[in-house]
Amino acid sequence: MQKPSHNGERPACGAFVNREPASFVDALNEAARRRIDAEVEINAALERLSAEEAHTIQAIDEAHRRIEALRAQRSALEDRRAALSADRYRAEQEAVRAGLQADRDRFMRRAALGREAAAARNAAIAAELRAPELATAMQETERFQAEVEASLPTLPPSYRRAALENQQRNVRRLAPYAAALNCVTPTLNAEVEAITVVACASPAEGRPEALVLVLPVPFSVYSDWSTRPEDLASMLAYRMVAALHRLLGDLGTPTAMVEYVEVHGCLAVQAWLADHDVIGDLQERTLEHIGRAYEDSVELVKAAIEVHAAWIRPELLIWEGD
Amino acid sequence: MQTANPDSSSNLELLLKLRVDQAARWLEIHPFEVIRALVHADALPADLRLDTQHVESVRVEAGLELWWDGVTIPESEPELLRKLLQTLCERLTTPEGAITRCDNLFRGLDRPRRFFLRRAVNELVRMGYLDVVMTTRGLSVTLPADRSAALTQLTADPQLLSALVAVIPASENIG
Repeated sequence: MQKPSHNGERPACGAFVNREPASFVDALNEAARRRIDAEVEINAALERLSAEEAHTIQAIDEAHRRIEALRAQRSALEDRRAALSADRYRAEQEAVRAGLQADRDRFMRRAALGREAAAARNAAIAAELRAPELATAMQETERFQAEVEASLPTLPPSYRRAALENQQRNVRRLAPYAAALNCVTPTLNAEVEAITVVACASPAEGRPEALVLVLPVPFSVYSDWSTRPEDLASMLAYRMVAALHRLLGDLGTPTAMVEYVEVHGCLAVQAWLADHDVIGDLQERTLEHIGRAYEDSVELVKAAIEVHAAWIRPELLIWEGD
Repeated sequence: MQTANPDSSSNLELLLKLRVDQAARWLEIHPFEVIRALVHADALPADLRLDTQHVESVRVEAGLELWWDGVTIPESEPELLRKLLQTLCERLTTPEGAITRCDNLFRGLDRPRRFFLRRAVNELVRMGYLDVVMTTRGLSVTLPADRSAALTQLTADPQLLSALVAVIPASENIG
């Protein structure tokens, strides 16, 4: 049981005080006060921390909301960018398709012009060949081919020599006409038409599996060759097929399988390279060979056709819905 | 000089060289095959106009052969089928016939016989007697050495041969 203190007051803390000196009681009271003060101080600090914590949590929540808002904005922008990219992608595909078809149509108009000019040239040459000297050369050439050539080994040497010399004279006399007739078109007085051979490798990066050349000529140049007359389009196709096979030889892939397919209504030549080791820069060499094939093509130059080569990404040739 | 430009008068034809499509018709191959063979033979003329030497180069480079030239073909359909297949198998088992262009097997035949042989060769490939490979000469058919005896046995056995003829898918009439 606790006893009252000497002045009737209860001590500030539970202690045996009735017999102890006043200074001791004061010290105890002082200690109690300090503890109370410290508790007050700590409680105040805890309240401040709680307030700060609440404020920080609120700030974090706000930051989270802000992050979500930013993400939403980013997502919206990325969607817009993807839409723009798809639009541009479709636009590029469309440009390739339209470009090939326009080139093909212009080229075929020029080929038709070449056919008309060749017919006129042939008529003019036929008229010239009716001149007595040339007509004689033609008759003698015909007779030589039909009757003399096969029997040359059996002729006496002097006869044989005379027959050969005469025929060589006729060949020289007729050579300019033969040279003109053997070109699919005479020189055309027309504006230069530029056309493009489109090339690409698939995949665009890494080891190539396929090489494709799309020519601005109709697919019928390949599929209907036996029924359509050989023309400027056939010659362009021959030149580019030759270029492809020379290229495959240079690349160390002469046995690559070659296929002919229709792309956007045009003839495409496709070489399968997946099972082969390609030597050298495929793009550079392809463009080189196309350029060289054009330089060799007398008939295209006469027809005022310029052939350019374009290397594109393969996906631009794969048209959705094809 | 060769003849043949259809839109030229006859006297002009005297001066015309052979076109690529004409050579292709003569050789029964596609014009692009003519071009490929001439490139491989390093004999493609700058003006793309040919003479008989070019045609010969194509024939040699492309490995073109006439397997059915001079072969007597029976008239009745079963015998005709048997003879065609038998001749095909005999030719393929010879050393020089062990690998050859696919179209050599059909060159010179009329359309029905050509189609029949195509189907027969497809069946032989499917059954594992023959392999098809791509070469610089074009699509070719090979007879691996370890299958030669089996093909010879097939050719010599009338019952096996009849069984094979029976499984070849039917098509238009032959003969």
